[in-house]
Amino acid sequence: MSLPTARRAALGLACALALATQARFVREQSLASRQAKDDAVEGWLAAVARLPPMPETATVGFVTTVEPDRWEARLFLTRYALAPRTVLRGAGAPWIVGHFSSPAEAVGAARAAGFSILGGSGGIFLLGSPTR
Amino acid sequence: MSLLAALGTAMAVVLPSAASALVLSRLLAGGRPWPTRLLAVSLSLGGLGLASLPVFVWRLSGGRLGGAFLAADLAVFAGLTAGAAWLTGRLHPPAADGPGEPEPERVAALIGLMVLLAVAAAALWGSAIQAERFPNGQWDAWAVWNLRARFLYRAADGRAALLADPPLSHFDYPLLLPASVARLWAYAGQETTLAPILAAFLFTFAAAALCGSALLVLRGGAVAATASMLVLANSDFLIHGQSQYADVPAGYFLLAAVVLLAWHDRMALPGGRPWALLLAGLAAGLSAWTKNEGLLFVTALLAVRAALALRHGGRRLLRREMAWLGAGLALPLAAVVLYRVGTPHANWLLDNEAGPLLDRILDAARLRLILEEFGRHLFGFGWGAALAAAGLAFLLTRTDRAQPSRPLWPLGVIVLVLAGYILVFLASPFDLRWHLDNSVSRLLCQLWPAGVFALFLAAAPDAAKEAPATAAPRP
Repeated sequence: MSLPTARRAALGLACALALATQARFVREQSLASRQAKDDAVEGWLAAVARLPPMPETATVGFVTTVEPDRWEARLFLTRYALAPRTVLRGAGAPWIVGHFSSPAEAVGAARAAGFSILGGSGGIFLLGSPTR
Repeated sequence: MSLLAALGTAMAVVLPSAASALVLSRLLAGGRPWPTRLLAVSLSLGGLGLASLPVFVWRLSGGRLGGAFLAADLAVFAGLTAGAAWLTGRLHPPAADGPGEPEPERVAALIGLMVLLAVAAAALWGSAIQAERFPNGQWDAWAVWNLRARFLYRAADGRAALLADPPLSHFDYPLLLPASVARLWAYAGQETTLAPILAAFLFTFAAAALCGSALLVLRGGAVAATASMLVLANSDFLIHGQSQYADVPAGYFLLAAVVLLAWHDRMALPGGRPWALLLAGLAAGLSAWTKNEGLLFVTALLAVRAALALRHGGRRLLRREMAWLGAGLALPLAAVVLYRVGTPHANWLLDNEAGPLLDRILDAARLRLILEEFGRHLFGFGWGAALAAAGLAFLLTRTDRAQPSRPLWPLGVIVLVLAGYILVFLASPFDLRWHLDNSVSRLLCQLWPAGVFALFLAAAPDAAKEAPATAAPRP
């Protein structure tokens, strides 16, 4: 007894559609992998990890003057890098992680908050009181 | 990452999974042994989810995830494995192998298996590319799930880590995935992106394996291979899985609960203890410990099963079924309650004021927009092709139209959960289009494996009818 034709057709069609879908998925993923790697996430995490250490219980403010419309992603990534510290938007905290377009801008922000620049690279700076 | 860290991570997965597989392969006695063993192995990832519960309790009591935790965790799972091996040896003996499937079905199963292997290889390849590009996952992974895992793993004060509530990071979400990742890091002895990547791979591919192995037991090899390949042939499902979000793990537990109940209905030995009901309750509870939507699933599942029990067996069956399901639900739901009560967090959905709730729920324009968005996602790329294949298979494999008991209840559960999603969107205090854009695709991924299983369970003829199983079906 052979397999009923209808079942054979259903199986064949399902197999063909599944293979076609997967071929498209792999092609799209491969094309994406050939594009320049978006290191916005990894680069940001690495830069924040290079900042001087802060106490685990620190509350950290986050400010940015670069691409202000992308503040939310930067805030979450900073929070992720500095966990379990509390990272909040704004400058009203004993420590500030700032994303500035130039060191001069960072100096200005530190002066305005009554802080010093404790470290930083790649436009990301840690501001705070040196006596803390 | 060192070899030692990789071995530690592997051990953190293998230990609870092996213990679970051992228990499951004995508790799910009945039917042909090797498909049942495959089903037990596919279900055994539940052990990894279960292992997140001690992490939560340990951190709540103030302990760090260091040497003392590892010693306790190892002792618990080694003890459980040994205890389960001894105890379950006294339960049902494994059944002898049955006659297997008829020749034409075996040929179809073989073809299906070959295509499944090709589909799985492509899915693995594509997922590996995504993991390489985004080792920390996508937005919600680093804003919510892996962030939570870092709090659990890094914080010296466990209670403070649980009480932390940074704005917009949704720390009210349950802890199965973050606690599992933190546990993998504890075993690795370091934070490594391998842990969330591995968890993402395991839950994604175990969902396909579980769907297939359950249908192998209940519906035969060809149906099993077709269903498995369709689970993996959905690119949205693969992408969300490897994004390191909790929706695919939630979908795995949702599927596990439905599978165990379907297995119980068809394969449980008459007069025996309904262990599968207990395990189904546990899996449903773990879905609620994975995502808040799991609570909606638990409610829908209990409602449908209660109605079914009342219809077929009256109050006696209802009491028995609810008692065993409830016993399984107890542990994970206790964790959910303890988490909610013990560490209160803001709930972004409930704590938002946006005018009268009733006005939003009764707004026909909102309902139309929600239905349009669900339709767009269901029939868009990925979902569309896979659903078309599933639908065709559904129609064409209905060879046994006279089959007396076609289980439609899993589809009923899924419809109820979908209705619940729609109600939540209607009540949403946020900009509805934004909320839909950010949620619908993920929510459908939660239902996808269980949906494929439910469709094929209802459509395909009973394997036990075509090839008699050694266990007698339930009366």
